[in-house]
Amino acid sequence: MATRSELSDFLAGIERRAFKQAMYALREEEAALDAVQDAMMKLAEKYGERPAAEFPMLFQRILQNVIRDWFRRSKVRSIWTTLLSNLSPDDEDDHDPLESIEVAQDSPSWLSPEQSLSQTQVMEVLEREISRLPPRQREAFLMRYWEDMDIAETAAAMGCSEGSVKTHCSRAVHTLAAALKARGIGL
Amino acid sequence: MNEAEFARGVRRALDDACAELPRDVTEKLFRARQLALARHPALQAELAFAGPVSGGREVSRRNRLAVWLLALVVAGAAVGTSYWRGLQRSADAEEVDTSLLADDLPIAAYLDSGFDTWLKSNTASSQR
Repeated sequence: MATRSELSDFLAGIERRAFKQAMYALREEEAALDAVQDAMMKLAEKYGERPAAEFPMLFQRILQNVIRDWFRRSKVRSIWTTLLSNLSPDDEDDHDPLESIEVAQDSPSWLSPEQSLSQTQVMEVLEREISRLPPRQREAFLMRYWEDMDIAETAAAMGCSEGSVKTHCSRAVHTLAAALKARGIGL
Repeated sequence: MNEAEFARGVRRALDDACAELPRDVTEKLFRARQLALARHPALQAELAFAGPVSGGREVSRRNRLAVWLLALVVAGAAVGTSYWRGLQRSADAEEVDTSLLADDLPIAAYLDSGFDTWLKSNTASSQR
């Protein structure tokens, strides 16, 4: 059984990554913060006394469910908006808030092509490409390689088979690698 | 570059991005964590028992005393009511006896079935 301080340590260690994960999915800061808070509270309330080793898997499962719930509620609230955005997938890139805000602000026009991209720019591009990944690929990739969850834990958190996790991860890696390569970014 | 190597590179970049979160976001995350921890079952249980723990024995002793006093009052009331009803019944019987003895009608008349029939028929006709 986990103590309150073990839960506190776990939440302190995961909160920033959880926020980023929620941001990649929801693309709204307030919504992402709400999602993380909701997931934290559900974990503490319902599973707070489970063994600490189960926290990563449980938290990820709750967080992904909270994110899905947000999308469901969002669809109900503004069906017409969702319909319009689905009807015009080509415009999606132009209206990506991460792209339009962050790149515009932080990529000075006087940088020559020869100059290497700054670390900040690399991160921005990477984060943008991650948020563009299909949700299941993104979830699997982040859980496996950022949260250090093994395949079985990731499969349990996603509610799918281990084979599906491998497939999602592999596709995510190839998509990301291709996208970064196309922009001349190597990690 | 294989999948694991690439993933390590991505992880490093993402960790760097995490380290540079705005202050207002980290503060909100901190508050969210505190809210979540307040819902931990252990803390909830502590809060639930916080009152009784401070003077729990004293409270339970007082409760027991109150229950005993209440039971005594209820029992006293029951005995009193029963005694008062007994007195009331004796007074009623006494009154009936006195009126029977003081009446002009002899007591033997009440034992006469004919008189009883006449009394009933007379009462019914007077009600009409």
